[in-house]
This record gives sequence, structure tokens and C-alpha cells, in this order.
Amino acid sequence: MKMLFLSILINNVVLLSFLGLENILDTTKKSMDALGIIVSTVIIMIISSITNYWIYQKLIIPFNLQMLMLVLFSVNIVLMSFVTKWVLEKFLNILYTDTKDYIPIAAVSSLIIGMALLNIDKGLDIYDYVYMNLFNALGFALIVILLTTIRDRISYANIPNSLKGAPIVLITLGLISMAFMGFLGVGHL
Amino acid sequence: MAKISFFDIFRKNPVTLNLLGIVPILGTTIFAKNALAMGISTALVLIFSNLFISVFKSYIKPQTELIIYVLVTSVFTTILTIMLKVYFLPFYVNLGIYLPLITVNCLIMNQLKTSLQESLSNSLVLSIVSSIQFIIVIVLVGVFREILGSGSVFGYEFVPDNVLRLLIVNTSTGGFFTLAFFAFLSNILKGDKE
Repeated sequence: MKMLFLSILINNVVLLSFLGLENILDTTKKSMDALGIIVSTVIIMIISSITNYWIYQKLIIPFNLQMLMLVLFSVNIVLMSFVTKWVLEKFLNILYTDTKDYIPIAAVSSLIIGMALLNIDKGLDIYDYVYMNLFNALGFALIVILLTTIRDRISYANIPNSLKGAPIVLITLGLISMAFMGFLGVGHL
Repeated sequence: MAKISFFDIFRKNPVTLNLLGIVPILGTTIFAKNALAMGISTALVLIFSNLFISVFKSYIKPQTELIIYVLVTSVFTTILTIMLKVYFLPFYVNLGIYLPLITVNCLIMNQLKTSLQESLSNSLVLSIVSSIQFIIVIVLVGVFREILGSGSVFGYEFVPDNVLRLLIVNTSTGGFFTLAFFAFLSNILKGDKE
């Protein structure tokens, strides 16, 4: 429970380390896009962190391949995204028609590969590693939901011409991250 | 050869207009020195992977496009990481997680996708232009944040000690606001021609 609060509110990777930001900016224009990216990010995060941990324990440590960790992890994540897309197309076609289009976008994101690389050296066991990555994906989901609703309101507002598009989104994100600084005090409780 | 005028480098900058590849721009620009190192390393990976992809583009099928992009960029990033670790250890320590994240940089992915349709010389010119645009933006943001946040440029401190530093520029909020300012400037430069 403490880890959940820590990784969603206090150490939110999107606001503090900017991981996964490129997907946020692309997909928060419409709410359906946002839903698709959240679901596919969570699915890819769970599957890829299990397989990445397995690769780390069975391949990288025994053969001393720390230099090739980046190549192995990124190729594994893209392969897992292909497998997941195939499974969703083949067996769950009625349920997740839209989600499968977002899976390649979600896989090639700095959030998934960044979390895989950041948490692997901490000496966690497999449950903690998967939970940690999953909670960080949920923190990403929170930011996506917040930004989507705010951008929905912004589209009705009358803003200056030169602030339209990229600048207003960045200002919104800056204000969100300033608001999230208030949660730093929660950590001392 | 693709024709690119000098002003297009500033006016049609994909980094500030479409916000491509802004994760390293926000993450590493507290000091201008790190920003320059990040810009040069991203440019090197961009140019070399672009060259590799455009030489071997006849072997790439649409189904395996994504995995080849990721494989090529991650191999070049690994080579760059090893070089930095051997020759420039302080930069390797300072850039941290953003160094391996060059692999999934949006700017590089976008450039590789366009280079599949272009000829070899065209894609080389386009990749060099977009890496110059990236370096310009990242160094400008870095200099701006370093002047406001630490009162120095490239480590040379020129603002007197009794002037207050804007410490919020060193946090993530300041990064977002600074990049918003530059995106606003480039929106003005672009004008309302459409």
C-alpha cells in the first residue's frame, strides 16, 4: 500500500523523470485514445516486466551480459507487444477491438523501457519488481486521465493564437507537476 | 537533394512545434554542459541509425519494421554508452537513465520512418537537419535554465552572489514552463500562414 502511494503520488515518474511523456502528448486529445493507451500500457508493462525479470536472472547474470541489457530488454518488449497484439486479435477480438492498435505505440515508449532499466538493479524479487512497474504504469494512467479532462475543457476556452497546440499543453503539465509537489509532505507522515 | 532553406531550421522545428523527443530535453537541461552532451549523442545515434536503415531499406518488410528500428537504435545507443563510459565518465554519470532512453526517442523513430521512402542522400540531409534542430533547441533550453537556476553558462558563473536564483527552474515544473516558452516563441516565428 505504501509503495502504491509512493509511486503514484510522490515519485510519479511522468512528472519527475518525464518518462512516457511522448505518448501522453500524442494521445490525450481524445478520451478514447487515452483509454486505449492506458489499457495497453498496463498490459505491456505486466507482461514485459515478467519476461524482462526472467531474462535478467537466466541470461544476463549467468553470462555476464550487462552491456547488452538495453538491446535484450528493448527487443524483448517489442516482441512481447507483437505477441500480445496477436493474442488480442486472435482470441479476444470482440472485447478489445481498439486496444490492439495502441499496443505498438505503448511498447515503444520511454516509460516501459525506462522502468525496466531503473528497477532491475534494486535487488527486488519478481513480485516486487512487477508490482513496482505496475504501480508506475498506474501513475502514468492518472496523469493521462487528468490531462485528457483538462484538454477537453481547454478546447472550449478562448486562448491566444500563439499559445494553441504545444505550449498550452506544456503549461498545463507544469501546473499539474507543481500541484503534485504538494504530495511531498505526505511522505513524512 | 532535399532543399532546405536556412530559416526552415528555425521555423519548421519539429521539436518545438510537434514536441518530438522532448523527454531528454526536459530531463537533462538543468546544466547546459549536459544538454550539449545529450544533444550530440542523440544526433550521433540519429545520423548513424538513419544511414544504416537507408542503406538496408530494401530488406525491411512492413511487419518487422518496428523491431528493426528498435534493434538498430539500441545497438548504436549501446555502442555510444560504452564510448561515453570509457572516454567521458562524468557525462555518463550525469545523463543517467536518459542515455539508454535515446533508443525510443520519438524524433529518431519519426526520422527512420520517413527515411524508408526517401533516397539515401535525401534522408542523410534530413537527418542532419533534424539533429541540428534538436541540438539548437536542447542547448537553448539548457542555457536558459542554467542562467535562471544557477546563474552560470557552461559552468562559468557570472551572475553575482547576492542576486537570487530561481530555484523552481531546476525542478520539473521549471522544465515544463521553459519548454512551453520556447514552443510559444516558435509558434510566433511560424506565423499564421495556414
